[in-house]
Amino acid sequence: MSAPPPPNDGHPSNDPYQGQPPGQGHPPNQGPQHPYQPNPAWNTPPPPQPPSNNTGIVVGLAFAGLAIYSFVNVVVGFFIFFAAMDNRGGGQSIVIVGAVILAIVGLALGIGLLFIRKPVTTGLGIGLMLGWALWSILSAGLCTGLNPGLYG
Amino acid sequence: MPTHEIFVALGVAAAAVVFVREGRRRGALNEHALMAVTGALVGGAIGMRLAGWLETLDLQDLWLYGSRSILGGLTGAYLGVLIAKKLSGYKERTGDLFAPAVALGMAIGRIGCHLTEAPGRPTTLPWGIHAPATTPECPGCLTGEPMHPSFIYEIIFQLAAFAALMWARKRLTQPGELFTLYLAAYAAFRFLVEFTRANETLWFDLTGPQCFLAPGLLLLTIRLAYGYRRGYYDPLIRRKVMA
Repeated sequence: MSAPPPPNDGHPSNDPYQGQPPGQGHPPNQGPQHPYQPNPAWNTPPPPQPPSNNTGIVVGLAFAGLAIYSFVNVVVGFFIFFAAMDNRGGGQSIVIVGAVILAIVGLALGIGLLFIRKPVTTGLGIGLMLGWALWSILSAGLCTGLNPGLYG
Repeated sequence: MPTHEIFVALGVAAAAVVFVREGRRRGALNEHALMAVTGALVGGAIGMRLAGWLETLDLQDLWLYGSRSILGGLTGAYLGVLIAKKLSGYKERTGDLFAPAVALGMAIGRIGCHLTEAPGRPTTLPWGIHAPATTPECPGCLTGEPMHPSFIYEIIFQLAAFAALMWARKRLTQPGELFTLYLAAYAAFRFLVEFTRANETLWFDLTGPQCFLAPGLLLLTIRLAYGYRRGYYDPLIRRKVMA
């Protein structure tokens, strides 16, 4: 702003702030100043937020949580599958217990970790929940005991 | 892994790629976006099973034989994102990131449905298809009648929607409207395509999904009218705004 803006209607104006973008209005009266050098405190944009450096930690630990859940799912899913194949009875109870264990590990533990509100626990919590959801969707519930009708 | 699940997995993978690219383009790829994706997947996994409540209120029946519904999954995913954003304190709109990803993912996932499920109601149209007699819950398959390829209709719709969303994403400036448009278009399409699907009818010759969609369509119409009056879609329809 080294030069004043020209009047827009051909008539000189006494308002030194004519031509400012709408919404800025007049500056607060803080003593004599050059009319075209606004008070720095008046129009200074807020400092930019520093980029979050937690994203890398959260994403990395989400993969770790996904791996941990997948390991647990393979172990528990093994028992669920063979319990469902067992014709001697009692298999359905084992399927229910297995499904509940996997839901606790994936969902309850995952949500619980989120509430600690630290990048490490947030990442792990997201990973556990992602693991439960992906195993449930991609196996149509076969691997997480959600869809025992599929065991035939 | 069965055929259906292979295509579901491919659909999820394609949706993940589109989501990441879109998130990167919009500068919104952060832990909040990951949290929203988690909410969508968890909500989707639960919702697709809970949708069986439309068929039975018996919890054991629901668990053992409940359906796996796309509409239930989408509703659950939507609620899951809302809960995830509430938990992480994130206030920005995320639907626009999901819309093209969901469209492409569903186009691929529906190939699995086409290959393994009852294709549709009997038809005399020349593009009617036949399906193996072993297809579950498919009377038309047993009699050998030609049937509507309803999943092919949906695949074509989803691919067209994906192309339209990719075209519209740079033009729409109001956050969340890309998602609203996709949701409204899919709800209207799904309501219509149900007339060719082999689903059981419940009331007034309407299927379960149609009964679920009818009130949703009313709400979405009101929402679209609200957006239209405020000029959210002007960049798409080139409506002249009164000065």
